[in-house]
Amino acid sequence: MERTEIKALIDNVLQAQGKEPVVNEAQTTRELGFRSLDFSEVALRIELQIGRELNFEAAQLRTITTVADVLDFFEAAVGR
Amino acid sequence: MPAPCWDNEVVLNGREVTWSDLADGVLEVAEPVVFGVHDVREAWAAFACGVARSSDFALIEAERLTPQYITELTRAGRWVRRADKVIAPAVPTTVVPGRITVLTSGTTGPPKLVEHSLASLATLAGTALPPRRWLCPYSAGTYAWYQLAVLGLTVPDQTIVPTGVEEPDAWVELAASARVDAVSATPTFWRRTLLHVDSAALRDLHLTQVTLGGERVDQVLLDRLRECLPKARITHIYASTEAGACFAVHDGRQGFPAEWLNRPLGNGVRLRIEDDRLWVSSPFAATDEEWIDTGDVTRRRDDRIEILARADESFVNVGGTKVDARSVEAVLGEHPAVLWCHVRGVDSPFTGQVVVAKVLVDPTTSLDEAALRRFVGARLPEAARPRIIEFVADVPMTAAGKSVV
Repeated sequence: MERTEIKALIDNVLQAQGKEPVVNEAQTTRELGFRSLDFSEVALRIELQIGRELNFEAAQLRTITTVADVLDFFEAAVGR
Repeated sequence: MPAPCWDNEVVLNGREVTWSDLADGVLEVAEPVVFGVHDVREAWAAFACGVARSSDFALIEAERLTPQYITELTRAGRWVRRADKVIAPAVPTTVVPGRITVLTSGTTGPPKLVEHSLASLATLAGTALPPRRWLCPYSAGTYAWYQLAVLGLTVPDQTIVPTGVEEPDAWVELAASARVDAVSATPTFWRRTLLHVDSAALRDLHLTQVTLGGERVDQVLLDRLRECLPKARITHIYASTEAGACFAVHDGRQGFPAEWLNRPLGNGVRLRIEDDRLWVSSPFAATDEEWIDTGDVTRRRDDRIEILARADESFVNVGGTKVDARSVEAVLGEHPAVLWCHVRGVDSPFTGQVVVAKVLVDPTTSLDEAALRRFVGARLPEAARPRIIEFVADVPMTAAGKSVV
């Protein structure tokens, strides 16, 4: 799954909550109002698209602060 | 013990036969026995013969008799008869004349054998009913099926028209040709019918009685039935295999009146609520215990007690917040285009669980996921909002005519 597709999913999840979409990858999740439930929804939607559960390191989650971090995280999880 | 009306009739393959005709078959079998029945006629004949001989019996659709199920039944001291094959019990047996054992589905574990009798199943014995021709789309051997079978056998002038549960169009055709004027079925059966059958065809049946049982009933369905069948009395029944039939509600509203609590109802049933759960004491129960915990979670809304869900399947844990899935269903169901929905939690490594939903919407509307999310978003706290709403084309249904989820 491409990084642009993951970003589009994030935008959709944000917009469904009435929030602004991502402008650039340096934005923080806090600025965007991208919360843990939004994170869960993106993960679920990725799993539905790829037809399997995501595989990831929990430790990586703790370092996420920006959109770039979120995209890196999901890209890695999809690729594992 | 109610006296059977042997001259009442059952319509089998377009032909009316009396219960005494059905009971006339030869049924020489060791007891206690479980009949695995292959077709409608075999089911009704087995029941008629069993009652006529005060046999100790149960019946179940043969296709549900898996090897594991048969093993469990023989371990419980039952003979199992399927077509010409007879399987002996694995332990010594005790015959109890007149015992009618209701078998639960056993889809999630070993079957439960719930012991009733004609008397405990005859919840309408002595009730004066107008002559009616009842469509029976219940699966043979379920509690609801026995309820209709016993109604047909013990209440004067009641005719039973058995059918399968699969095709809504087919039952409407059968009902029209057999002059059915009353239908008792699960809410899932009715939702599918309203989805697939033209409302004019339903109205043309001139139903005077519509009964819903076997599952929780919601207001949206009751309203749709009222709109579609304005001349029929619409009744929903609260019953369980263990507690028996407890009460029937005729006022077109979901739940039951709060004033029914803590006092005997006309049929001797008593109801109380403890920690939001419904307890019943019923003369039709299959147990000697005075009070039975139904496991159903309730909530009071003004003068009404609403039944939300089974206690053990109701809650989703979203990041430590307990979300009542049935309350979320209630909100989804408030949308006029939603015909059916099911809400559950799915595991999420980030929040424990998140709420997801399946919905069936009226195909004549253009409701999409975004619009439905806006609708629930305005009515539910964030943790309770379904994060994914899957639109399904039909209500998934079990062999017993209930929703599979």
